[in-house]
Amino acid sequence: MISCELHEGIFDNPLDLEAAEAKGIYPPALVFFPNNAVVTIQDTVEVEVYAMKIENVGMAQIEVHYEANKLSVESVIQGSLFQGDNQPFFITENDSNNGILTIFITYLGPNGKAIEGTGDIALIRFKPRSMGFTEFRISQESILLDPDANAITLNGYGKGIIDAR
Amino acid sequence: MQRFLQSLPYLLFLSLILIFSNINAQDRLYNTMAVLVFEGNGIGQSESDAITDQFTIELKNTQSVLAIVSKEIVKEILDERQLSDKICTNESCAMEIGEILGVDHVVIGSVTKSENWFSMEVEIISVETGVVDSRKSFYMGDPNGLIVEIGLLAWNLMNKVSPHSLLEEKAKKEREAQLLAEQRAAEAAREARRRLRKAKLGAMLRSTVLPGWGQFNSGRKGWGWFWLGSELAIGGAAYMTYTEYDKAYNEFEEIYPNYNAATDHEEIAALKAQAIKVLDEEMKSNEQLLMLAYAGGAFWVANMVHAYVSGQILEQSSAEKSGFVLVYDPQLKSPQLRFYIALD
Repeated sequence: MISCELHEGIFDNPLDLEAAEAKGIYPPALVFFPNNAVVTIQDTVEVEVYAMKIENVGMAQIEVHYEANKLSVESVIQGSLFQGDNQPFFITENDSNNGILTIFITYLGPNGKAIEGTGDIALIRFKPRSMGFTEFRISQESILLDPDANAITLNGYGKGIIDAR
Repeated sequence: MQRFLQSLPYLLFLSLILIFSNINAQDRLYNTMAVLVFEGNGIGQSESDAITDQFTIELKNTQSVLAIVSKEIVKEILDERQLSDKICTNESCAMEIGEILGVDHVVIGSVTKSENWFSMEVEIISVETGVVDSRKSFYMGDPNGLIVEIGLLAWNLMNKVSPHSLLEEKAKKEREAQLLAEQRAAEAAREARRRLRKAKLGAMLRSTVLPGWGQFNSGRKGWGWFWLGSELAIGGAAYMTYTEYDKAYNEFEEIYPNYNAATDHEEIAALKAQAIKVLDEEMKSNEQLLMLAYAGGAFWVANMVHAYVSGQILEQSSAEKSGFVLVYDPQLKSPQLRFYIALD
């Protein structure tokens, strides 16, 4: 068959609402950006945790599950979504034995405000431990609360894949 | 009845005249005669000598000449007069040489060879009067029957009925000649078919290399231009389509990474729409290219088949037998560009 090289046209930006819908993820949702990476075993992979189209959120507790035998968490940095006049409270806890990373972020004090829209909550640096595919995902145990501590229903929990070569 | 009886003596007289004149014509006896070497056109001297010898032998067989001066004696006498190289072609020359040789009559003749055809003419010339006593000629094809024809010519020249053996030999030779002609015709037909096949294959090969070339070479310039033009048109269209494809491909290469890197929903949607548009153009261009490639291929193959089918042997005309050629001149020791033109 004679043919020129053609692009496949795979539109899978995790923040593409249409693409997310196709995967069953509807806002408000928590997703990874990017949600896939091909790296060498020596590389570090930077993945952002994104909140997609959230409204009136004052606190977030996000659990990221990963394969502890294949990945390690190098560091976790606060993202830009909770930036503002009030400095947010941001802590993380990494259970490297079970592969559970917990990210907690909230505004402190009585003037605590709420956030909305789409933005990065945290930046996670993963390090592959062995070659091959490994998956990480946002657990459905993750919680978003409004400033009055009412739970916000999440309609999607993103996942990501790293191919270490 | 009475009128018939009255005219009977006249009728008898006329009959006698006819009978005697015929006998006279058939049984004329020449006293002395010399056969001069025939003029040869298209044949060598040795062949001319051989034909003259054969004619002389057959002339003796007719027993119409009492004495024929042998070729050796003729040569000896003419050598003495330094005339041995002289070829006699007319009556005055025949009279001159006949007088030298001391004969009553001289036979002169000519043999002409044109490709595979021979023509021959001989005549008996009276040395005394210069009058042509008898002239005969023949025209035949195959050299295979030439000896027989020479023999028959000798008998005819003497106005004598040719011997049965010679006539049978002639018939045999004619059959052989007919067979040979048929063989040659078959061979020529085979050769023509071979040349035609070669020309057809050559035309197809040329058109395989360049569409229309075979047709041009076969003298079908219209078709040549058609196939070449078609391929050029398809090639041009393919080039334009490829340009569109390339543009769309490069645009997608620019847009897609931006789409993947974008985090704003509106920007993502806009970039995606652009990417889908150029992707669509890319696919359309690719489909068009594919169609043009198939069309080009089909035309190419059709051109090859047409070149074979319409291939013919093209004889070069004089106008085409001219041109320029680069040659090396050994005298000037330098290359020269020369113009040549065929004069046939």
